[in-house]
Amino acid sequence: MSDTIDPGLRNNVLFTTMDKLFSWARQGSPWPITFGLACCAIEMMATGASRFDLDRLGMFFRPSPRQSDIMIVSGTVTIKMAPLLRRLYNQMPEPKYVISMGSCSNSGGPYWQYGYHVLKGVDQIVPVDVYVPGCPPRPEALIDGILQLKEKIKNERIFSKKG
Amino acid sequence: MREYFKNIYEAIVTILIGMGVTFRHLFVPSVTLQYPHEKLKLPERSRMKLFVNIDDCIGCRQCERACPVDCITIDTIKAGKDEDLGAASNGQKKRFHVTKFDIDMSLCCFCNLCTFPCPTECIYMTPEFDFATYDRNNLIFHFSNYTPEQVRELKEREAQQKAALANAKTGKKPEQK
Repeated sequence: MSDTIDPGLRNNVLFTTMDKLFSWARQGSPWPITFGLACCAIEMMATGASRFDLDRLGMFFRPSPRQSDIMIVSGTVTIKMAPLLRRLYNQMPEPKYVISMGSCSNSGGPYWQYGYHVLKGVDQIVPVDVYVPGCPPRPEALIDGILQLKEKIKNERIFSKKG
Repeated sequence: MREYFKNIYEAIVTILIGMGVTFRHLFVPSVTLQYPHEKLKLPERSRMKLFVNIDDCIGCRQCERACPVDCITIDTIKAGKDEDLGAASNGQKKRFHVTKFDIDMSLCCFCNLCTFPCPTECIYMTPEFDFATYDRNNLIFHFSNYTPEQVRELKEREAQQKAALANAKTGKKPEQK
């Protein structure tokens, strides 16, 4: 097949699938929702500030869930906060992704045994895509999580789902 | 009229002062760290990912007890009387088979308290921090070298020894009477 195509044409025409195109467009600039829960939010702010600069990745914090693509759950999710977090997640338009940042939201962290007031992992109420370990994670670690998420979105199949 | 021109003059001058600050910052080097391409060299003793040098572990479980969030789980099986497991690098004799040494980094609070009681200094924190995963189970790190078959064998042996000991005890009791 490739032998029959004119070489000049082959170098100038790009072929792709709708899957690849859509997932490439989705991973381009995911906007996170401004949603800081605890001390991890300080690191999240630092990630957004000029030292680590999330704008390099095309991300900046949106004040409304309607405008955002990803939710960075940064900090302890108390049981009182859990329904509100779920509501914010429901308000986000599809496609939506969740990054769980820090020990507390990964699995309850220091509160996993005796914390009567803390959700044991935010994946109990929302589907989590990437877990960023740390207490709190360094801003670089959060950026690493975001890059992992971008990789995940890039490899997503939207139209031709397997199985 | 005078007020009017004064306002215009002030507007121009204050804008120029502000733009001067901006202009000077054109020549200040950027502070941004281009993270995936350049990484900050962290100090050697920074508290990030835990690492266990399992060859030096003597199975004393002091780190497990020190951990405030119980994210370390250790299973040990006593070595036999004629069994020599060697020694740790600082000369401490190993008396236990460490059949399980799991650290759940999703629970860890990076307090470094587990490293201080370790008699052989085999558990320590490394400056590695970027290990985000898609699955939480990937954050549980297994450090033990023992295969499941070996663990089963050791457990069976231990159960046999215990049974033998119990038999011996119950066998002795009638004699004492």
